Amino acid sequence: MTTTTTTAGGRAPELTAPRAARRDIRRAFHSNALTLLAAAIFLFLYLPILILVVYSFNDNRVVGVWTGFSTRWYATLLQDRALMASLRVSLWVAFWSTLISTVLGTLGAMALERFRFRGKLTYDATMYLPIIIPDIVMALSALLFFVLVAVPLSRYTILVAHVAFNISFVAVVVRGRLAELDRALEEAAADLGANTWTTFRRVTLPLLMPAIVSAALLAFTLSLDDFVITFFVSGPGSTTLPVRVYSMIKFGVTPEVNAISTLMLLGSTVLVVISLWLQRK
Amino acid sequence: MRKPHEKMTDSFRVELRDVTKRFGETIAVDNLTLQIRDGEFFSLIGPSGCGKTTTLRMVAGFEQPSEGTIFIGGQHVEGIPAHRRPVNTVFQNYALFPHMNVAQNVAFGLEMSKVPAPEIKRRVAEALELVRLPQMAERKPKQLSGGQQQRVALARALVNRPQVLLLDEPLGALDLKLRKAMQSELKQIQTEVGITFIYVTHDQEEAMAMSDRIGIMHEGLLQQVGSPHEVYEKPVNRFVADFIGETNFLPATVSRLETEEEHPMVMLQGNVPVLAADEGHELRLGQSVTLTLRPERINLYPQGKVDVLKAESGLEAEELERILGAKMPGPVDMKEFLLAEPENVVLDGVLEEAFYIGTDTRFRVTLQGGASLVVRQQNYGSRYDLPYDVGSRVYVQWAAENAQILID
Repeated sequence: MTTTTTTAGGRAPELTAPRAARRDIRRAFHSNALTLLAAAIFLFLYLPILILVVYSFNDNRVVGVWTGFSTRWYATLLQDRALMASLRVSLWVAFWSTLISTVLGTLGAMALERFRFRGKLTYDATMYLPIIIPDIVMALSALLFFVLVAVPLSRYTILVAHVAFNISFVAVVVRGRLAELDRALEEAAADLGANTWTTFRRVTLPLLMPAIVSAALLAFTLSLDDFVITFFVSGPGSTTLPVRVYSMIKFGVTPEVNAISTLMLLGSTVLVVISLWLQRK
Repeated sequence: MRKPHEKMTDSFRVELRDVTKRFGETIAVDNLTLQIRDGEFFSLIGPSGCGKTTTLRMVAGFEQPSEGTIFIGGQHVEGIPAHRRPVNTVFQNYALFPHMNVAQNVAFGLEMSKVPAPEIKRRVAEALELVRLPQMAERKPKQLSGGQQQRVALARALVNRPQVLLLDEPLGALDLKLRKAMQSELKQIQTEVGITFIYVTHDQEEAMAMSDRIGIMHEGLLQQVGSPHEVYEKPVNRFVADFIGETNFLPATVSRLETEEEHPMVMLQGNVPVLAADEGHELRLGQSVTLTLRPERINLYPQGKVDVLKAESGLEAEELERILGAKMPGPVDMKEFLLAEPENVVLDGVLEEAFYIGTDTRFRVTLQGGASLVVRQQNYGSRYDLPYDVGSRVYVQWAAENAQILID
């Protein structure tokens, strides 16, 4: 910074050099303070994650002690049969819950956005409930439900619970896109001789596709990452990855846990980024 | 494309009988009866919310009438959904399918009616030729200009050879120059394909320029149907007179029903008697009426003595005498000259304002008796030396048939 500054409007001569300097410093401080604050927030948010990622590559079994770079914990993961089994359960649940909730959520969004029917308002409100209410409440009510109808807890109960919350997220994403869609396009299709189904297949669906894929990726991620609800409704032999990780850290945080967490983080991030990118398209 | 009179048994292509459309409490279209002839370019015009678009949507099948019946090609269309009606629509914002290219957009309707692929190919090419866009077949709608999108929308509708083409403010989104160009193009295409067009717009000039007939709507009610000439020259009520073009409304009172000139006589403001034209109203003495008088049908003349022959011909006296082989009458009294035609109305007036707008000049004139008028005079080089200064006195002349009596 120089000690002399020119200001717009020809006011510069009024300012003595030291005053101008003080003002510059003050400005610099303000903008720097803001940058610092932002940096602090990011650090606070992401430092723990960063530490986790870094220590997943630590050669030493003791988490706090860095001895060297290694990928051996990633290799041992593959040998961990229980972990691999829970990964398979996770992927199975995520796949099917995504498929089912994407279809149902899209249909729900269509119904809410395109049709008028009795009880629409109630349906509309309850559609959003799973997004709003705390996971623990969802978890407890799901468990109570399964106990009441006497269904043994298994991967199927996890699936049902995941479908239940995923439908809402899918519906919200798809509905947003549907609301933006020009109604005249569907009318144009009908006008050109397409019946309701053909109009949906040839016009509405292709135009909704980015939103539907985006919603599916979101659903897949949510299902893969869910812990609370799954923890309550999973039965013996149907442990998902997050639940497995939780049981692993009961015996202390191991580098394997760090490694599997890093992989989950990576997978989720990729899916969410693609999902957001599709929503913007 | 198909010739218009093929297989045509019914005299009307589209007929609406006592059609009413309600949305909850509001009546969008009120007891509308309308017949549209085969091969006609018919425009429905009116301000926004007058029911014109709703009427079009009922013909298309997007809305169902609350009451009344609609016939297309002599066939009752109640219960026939939009996708099975023999009509096609050009939408206001074109509604081109953004995920398909131009050719796919145009082919859509033909695919729906299961036309064989080679024929689709041929007809799509034909249609794009018709709208002069053959080189754009592979483009996506987003890559086209507004005017080009408009033409693709037209091709997409026309390629199906509908019985009726419905156009909902198709030029609304274009700028003025392009709109003018598209107007003549649309009219040309319509003449070429011979399909009945129903055209909805709020732009009366656009409708006048293209239509065979115009229907004017206001608050759900059809006010008048007629040729552009009819609705301009013989508006049935104040709304139509006001909506089509520009006009003066003069309050008046009926003072004599029978006159030598076969026009009734009315009193303007300040008890100024004038002859006025009447289109079959049952007039009563003393009845309050309104005169409608177009600004361009009013003429201004200088007061006092004027050499009329010289002024009208623009020639010098000697030359005129040589051509006519007679002595020139010289200056005559302007008012006497104008009143030689008994159907002329000639009143004293004072110029209040003058606005020069290029092709013509608009004046505001106060008549004897106090009524105020807008007058348009073409700027074609004045024949008469008019005192154009504000405050000067002039004669205001119009033919009685141009001042029409409206009773609402």
